[in-house]
Amino acid sequence: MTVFKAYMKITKKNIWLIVMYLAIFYGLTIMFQQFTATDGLSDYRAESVPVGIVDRDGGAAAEGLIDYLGRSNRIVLVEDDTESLQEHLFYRDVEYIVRIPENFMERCILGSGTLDVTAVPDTYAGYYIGQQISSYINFASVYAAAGFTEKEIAKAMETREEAEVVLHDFSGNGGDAPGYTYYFRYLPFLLLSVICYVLGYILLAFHRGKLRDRMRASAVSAHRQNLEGMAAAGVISLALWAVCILTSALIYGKSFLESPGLYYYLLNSFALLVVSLAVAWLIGMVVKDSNALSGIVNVVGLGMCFLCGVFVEQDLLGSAVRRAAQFFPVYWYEYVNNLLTESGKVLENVRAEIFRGIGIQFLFAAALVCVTMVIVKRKAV
Amino acid sequence: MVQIENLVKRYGDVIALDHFNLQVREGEIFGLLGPNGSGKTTAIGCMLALLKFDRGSVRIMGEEMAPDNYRVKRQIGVVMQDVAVFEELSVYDNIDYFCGLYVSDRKRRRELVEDAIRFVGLEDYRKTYPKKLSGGLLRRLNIACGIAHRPKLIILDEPTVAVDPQSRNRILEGICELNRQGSTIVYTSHYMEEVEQICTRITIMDHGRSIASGTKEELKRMIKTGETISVETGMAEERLMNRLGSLPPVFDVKYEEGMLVVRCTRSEGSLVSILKILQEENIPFGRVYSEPPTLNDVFLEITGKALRD
Repeated sequence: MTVFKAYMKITKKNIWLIVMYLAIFYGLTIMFQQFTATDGLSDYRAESVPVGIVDRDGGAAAEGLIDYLGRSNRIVLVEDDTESLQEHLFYRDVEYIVRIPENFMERCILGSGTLDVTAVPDTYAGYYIGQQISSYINFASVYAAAGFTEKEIAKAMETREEAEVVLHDFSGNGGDAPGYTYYFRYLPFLLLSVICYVLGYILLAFHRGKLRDRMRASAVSAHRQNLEGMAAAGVISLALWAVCILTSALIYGKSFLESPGLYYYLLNSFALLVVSLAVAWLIGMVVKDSNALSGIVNVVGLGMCFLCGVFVEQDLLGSAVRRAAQFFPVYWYEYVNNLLTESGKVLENVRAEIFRGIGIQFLFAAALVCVTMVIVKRKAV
Repeated sequence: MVQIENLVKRYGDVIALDHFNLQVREGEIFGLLGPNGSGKTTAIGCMLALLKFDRGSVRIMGEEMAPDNYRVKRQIGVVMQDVAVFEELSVYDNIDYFCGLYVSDRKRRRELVEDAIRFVGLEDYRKTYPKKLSGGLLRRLNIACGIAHRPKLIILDEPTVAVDPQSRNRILEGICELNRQGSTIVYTSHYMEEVEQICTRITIMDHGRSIASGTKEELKRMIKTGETISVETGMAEERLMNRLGSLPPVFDVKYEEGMLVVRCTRSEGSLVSILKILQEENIPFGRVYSEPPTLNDVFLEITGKALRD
């Protein structure tokens, strides 16, 4: 087991690098977990926008509109002065100004007149408040057509029940993504970086100068040398994976160990481990020196992480980027991860998607191995 | 021990080995001498089955050499021309690694590694990494990695390239010691002095061919030169050159950079005759050297060029 032991000794020499990557990984996970923590399902409330009102009418219908808007927004009564209104908008005291004209009932509810409004350009608030005003006028018009007086309309609008918002808890965790989902989301950064660097470094050492010839001239067959090398790479990778899983179990305890998606998380991360090994083998066979190795590992590791939804959620990626990212295995790892986070309890239809994602990762690994074998063969000729 | 017959190795249109023949007997230090690019390393590559050849045969210890002939490979120690050690492993770990490719018993290996360390004089550098070793020490480590398992046949491909004289002497003494301990040595070099110093038999190579083989005495007897006389003098007129050239043992006279070089066949009294002519011609002269033929002379006469050209 001479070759196996040499792999281990060279890995031992890189132990501080592994510790450094682990520290960066845990730091990143904790940091992102803090930044992206959500409020959950129980805290739903409609968006509140500061709305400035100039009431030139003062009638019951106008009062009704102000009350209606005030239910979900912050109402600011402002002076009817153009300069003052501009100032309010400029300093963002209000994001939307509604001028209710005189004879509001006749002009806007019974007639087809419109309200004079001013909004901060290109804001969501403009659209949102506009929708609420249209809704009020539409309902008021219906009541007026039914013979309601101005006061009756205002009262009817006041007693109108708000639509109840019910959010379905598909994930089974009350809308909060459990901590370990972040942990597994950032795992590709750790596995790709550490495995590619450490194994790349070892392969680089074994292919430096005339060492390969020297080994071929020895009494141990090339087949055995390869087997020992593969066994060592497997042990090193599995050890790293085991450390990651055990740490996850230690940090997240029951919530991770009793998670319905536990075995899928393990299988998915194992698929990623196989992919990382295949990438590392390819890099180790192509790279000529350690400076190039560290550059390539950074480009491959960070590149895939940014492109495939590790550092930036897949939902936030542009459609073109997502299409391109599908040609990288990490995309499918994150795809499965997202399915597990969103679905919580793994249903039949989701299970098929999960296995598809994991299968694609294994196919990527097989393709990378084939490419590397072609390169090795060409080098040998 | 080693028998190579009609070996042909081509790299495209270039013929690296052209019907190359070699025979190494058990217990000898065999020198493969030739200028850079003469095919020495290619011959070693074919001998170790690292390179496929186009024609011919290589037999080592009576067996046909093949990439999977591990029984023979187990008996061979290799010291590559380029230092082939792991930068990531210490001196001890490197020797232990290469020894481990031949010897699986841990206890035995520990003894062998310690012996090898003592043999090359790296006792103080056991835990040092190769990057921190000087060129000479690195070469010694390279040798230790090749010989630690006590092979019957040791192939050393230019082990003294870029080594300081002190380390070179130590390496050459070590090679002789390995031979005394029972190993057969195949030693390639383009330094004729080294080959002359340690080798019992020599093959001179050029353009992938074996151009002469034998002991150093046999090789020197193959050529016309019996003595080269060099005289330090400030002038050499044509008349003087003609008179010297007409002496019966003299077959070549040259004047280069203040030195008159006269090459003679084996005969007595050549030096006296030359000095007498110089006196008669009133040519002042300084130091006078008389040298027996070297392997460079052998190479020069056979190929028409010096070994270091």
